[in-house]
Parts: sequence; C-alpha cells; structure tokens
Amino acid sequence: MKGYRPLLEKEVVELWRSYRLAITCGLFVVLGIGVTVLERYLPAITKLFGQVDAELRIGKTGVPDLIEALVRTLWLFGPLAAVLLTMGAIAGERQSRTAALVLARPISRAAFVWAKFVAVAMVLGLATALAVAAAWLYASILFGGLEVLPWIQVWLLAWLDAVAFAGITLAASAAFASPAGAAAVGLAAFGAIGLASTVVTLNPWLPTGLGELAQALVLNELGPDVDPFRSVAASATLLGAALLFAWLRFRRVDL
Amino acid sequence: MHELALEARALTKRFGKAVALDGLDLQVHAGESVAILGAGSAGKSTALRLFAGLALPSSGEVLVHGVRSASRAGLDARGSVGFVPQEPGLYLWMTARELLEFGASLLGMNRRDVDGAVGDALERVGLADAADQTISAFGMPWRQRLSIAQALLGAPELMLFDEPLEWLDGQGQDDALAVLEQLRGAAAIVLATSDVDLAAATCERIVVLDQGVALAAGPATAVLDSVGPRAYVFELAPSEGLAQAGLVARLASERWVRDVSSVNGTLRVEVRDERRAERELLPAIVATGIGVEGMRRIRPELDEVVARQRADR
Repeated sequence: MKGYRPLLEKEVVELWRSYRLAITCGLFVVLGIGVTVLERYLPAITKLFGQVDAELRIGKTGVPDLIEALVRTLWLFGPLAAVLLTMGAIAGERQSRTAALVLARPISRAAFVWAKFVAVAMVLGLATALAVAAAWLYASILFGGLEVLPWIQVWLLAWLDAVAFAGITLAASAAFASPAGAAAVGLAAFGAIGLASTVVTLNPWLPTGLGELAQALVLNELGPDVDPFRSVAASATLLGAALLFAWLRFRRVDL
Repeated sequence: MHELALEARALTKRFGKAVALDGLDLQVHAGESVAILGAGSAGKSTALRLFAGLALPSSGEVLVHGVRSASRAGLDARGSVGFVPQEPGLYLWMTARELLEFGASLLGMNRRDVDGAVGDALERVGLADAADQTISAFGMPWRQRLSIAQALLGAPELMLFDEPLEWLDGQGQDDALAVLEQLRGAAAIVLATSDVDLAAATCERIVVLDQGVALAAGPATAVLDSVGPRAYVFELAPSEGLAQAGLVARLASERWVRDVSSVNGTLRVEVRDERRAERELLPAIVATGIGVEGMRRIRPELDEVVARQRADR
C-alpha cells in the first residue's frame, strides 16, 4: 500500500490537533470511573433520596453488577464514538476536495482507506483501554483486588465491537459524498444490530454478542453455550467485509 | 523521459446518460504546452481529473509517460505529475509549510531534499513569508497560490492546471504566469481554461472543447486566427489632426484592413488578413511620423472561437 505511512502520520496529527483524540479518551475515562463509582455507591445514592424500595431490588452491588454496567456502557458509547469519528473520514475529504490533493499523488486508494481506519481504530483502542483501565483501578480500590487478564479481554472485545461499527461507517463514508449520510448508515446499523440482538440465537453472531462474551469471561461464567471463537470470528468477518466494501467502492469513486 | 508526456485515446466519460467527455484524442509531447479551451461545462475539468487519475474513464484510456494511468505502474507515474485543481482543496489545520512537507512525503522525497524543495516552492508563488501561518487564515488567492506550490513539488514533468488564475488577485496572477513561463519547455503543460488570452499567451497548441467534444486542435495562432478578423488598438502620441486623418485614410485603402477608426488618439484597426497586418500595420503607422505609445491586440472571445469551430465541422 503505497503512501500508507505519511497518511497515517497525518491522520494521527489531525486527530490530535482537532482534539478528537483527547475528547474521546477523556470521555471514556470519565465513563470507566463513573460506572464503577455509581455501581459501588448506588445503594447509598438511592438511600439519600429515601427508603430503598424492595421492588427495585437494589441491595448491595458487587463486581458482577459493575461488569454488566461497564459492558452496557462500552457497548453503547463505543459504537457511537466509532460512528462520530469515522463519518467524515472519506466523505469529508471528498467534500473538502483534500482527497483529490492526496490521490493525485502516487498514493493507492487502499492506503488512503486503510490509514483512515487504522487511525480511528487506534483512538478507539486507546479510549476503550483507558475506560477499562480506569474501571479496573477504581473497582480494585472499591471492591477489592481483581485479576487483570479478564479485564484485558473485556477491553479487546469492546475494541472489536467499536471498530466493527467504525468499519461499517467507513464503508458508508466511502459510498456517500456526505458525512451525514455515512453517520445515518452507521447509526442505522447500530439500531438494526441492537434490534437483531434481541433474538437469542442471533446475538452470538453479532458485535453485541461480544458483550455477553466479555461478561462471561470476566465473571468466569463461560458456559458450553458460549463460543468465544464464534462471536469474535463473526464480528471480525463483519469488519473485514465492511473494509473490503469500503475499498472496492472507493477505488471507483470519481474525485 | 518518454516522448509523450500525456496521451488520451478515445477518452470518454459519462455520468449516467450525460456525456461529459466524448472520445477525446490528445497527445502532449514532453516540454509542450497545450490549452484545453472551453466554456463552463465543456468537459475541461473532467478531462484533467481523468489525466490526473482522479476519475476513471467510461471508455478509452490515459497514458502518462507511456504508462496506462489505471495500472500499478501508472500509480508510480503520478509522482511526476503536478495537478492544480480549479478549487484548491487544502488541509486548513496545517500551516503552508506543513502542507508542502506532507506533499513531499507523499512523493517519497528524501528528508534532506524536503526543506529546500518546500522553500523553493513557497518562494516561487510568493508565500515564503506566510510559510508558518495556518492555511485557515488564508484567503482564496493565497490558497490558490499554495495549491500551485504543492503541484510544483518534485519538479514534475507534466503539469495539469485547471483554471489556475481563477481565484488569484493581480499579483498572484502575475506570479502564476511567471511560474507558467518558467515551466514552459521544462515540463509538459496542460492548461484547462476559458480565457482565450491566457491560452494564447501560455500555450503552443489549443484544443477547443465544446460539450465534451474536441471541435478543433492545432497551433494556438492557427486556431484563433481561423475565427476571423482581429483588431489592433494603438495609443498614439499627440499629433496634428491632419496627420491622423491621413493615416486613417491610408489604412482604409488597404485591402487587408476591414475597418479603421480614430477617436481621441486611440486608433482601432480591424483586419482581414492577420499575416499582412502583422507585417505591415506598425510600419505603416511609424512611416507617418506619428509616435505609438501603446499597442494591444484584441483576441476573439471564447464564444466566437467555439461558434466558428462548430460552424467548421
């Protein structure tokens, strides 16, 4: 892929200078800490507002509650951040005519698309890592010592979930000349996958199934019905297909 | 260096049912300058984007330095092509220097050579003093200058200009014309423009494009002279009215003069025969003893050129 390295360097500098890197990472750190603190002190917070209703069944919260809340949060904000970071990746450069500036040079379109994806994936990787690290740190303090490895697995799965949506949005960004159109497709995919995940037999084949897997891994509840390879392979295939589509579509786009 | 810097073979581009470019054949030799002259939607920009590899032809092909543009080798050949688009597309968050350094890195230029090449390019377009300013602070004339500067990086052997003067102010136009003059002979130039004067002044050959069809192609003077009688305007030094009246009468009697008039020291001569006018007009005036303070040639308008070429087909 000719020209990949200078393109990736430019992408990273742009993410830094536009504050997208800092804002995304900051948001995810706040989410990681917030979820943990909220879970730990939820009973006390509810007590502040009066007697705990037995119907609400808010008793003492523990690590399983925290993991469930963390997974729910990452599997919501990860895809949303992915859509927002990726929507203008290609469509925005077509609109501003900077894609023509770059691609009039001896640069392959594959390198252009791949550099965009890698840059967004790096931001999402860092942001989700910071969220999980912050949650683990606070959970260790508030709930006692916790093993690191399962949390790393949670991070990797959350990252894969987010980059799958980044891939879908990137494909849309390559197909449409408008960032808003790309965002609409990314959000529609998020909604559709969310809806499809309500079908129990379908969920393990979707990025949402990675959340279930993450919970099972960290709580050491990996049952015979949960196949880690299936969920990871399905999401990786979805990502690969999205990137392939993005490249095939973009290589025929007139600039 | 390949003999042909650029070759288009039966190049066609369709957008749905609309034909933007219809079977264009064009050969541009190394060091030659060619203008693609046409009105707003003639297909000039489409042709240049196809030449630059930014769009795929519906049929036909483009060869850059003898290599098919759509091939892997064609991608490498783009390293020797500089493209100035009609509207500059620049990363506004970069400084002018950063943009050119980025452009140099895309060309794979040696780190040692980058500083010199960037400084030289900025100097040529008159932006050396603004090198470290963010591009978002630039107005359109400066952005267009920068767009020209980025195209000059790496000393390209083929330069593609799409309406290069459009956004420039007076000084910027002078600088751009100086760049074009420097490039003439050193690089092949393809200039897409609707400006007849610019085409005639900077290019050896002209291709007249109308609704995607090449109506005519040939040496600039031949294409423009075929349009019909041209006019010359002279600013004459103050002299006796009788002398001027004599000059007008004398010129009016020449067969190669179609019409002549003199108002407030400005002499306008419309000619039938361009060659005889070039040979005889100025000596005829000078022979009367009247001083000439200025002279300009009135070129045909674009619509005249296009209409004439349409009629000839």
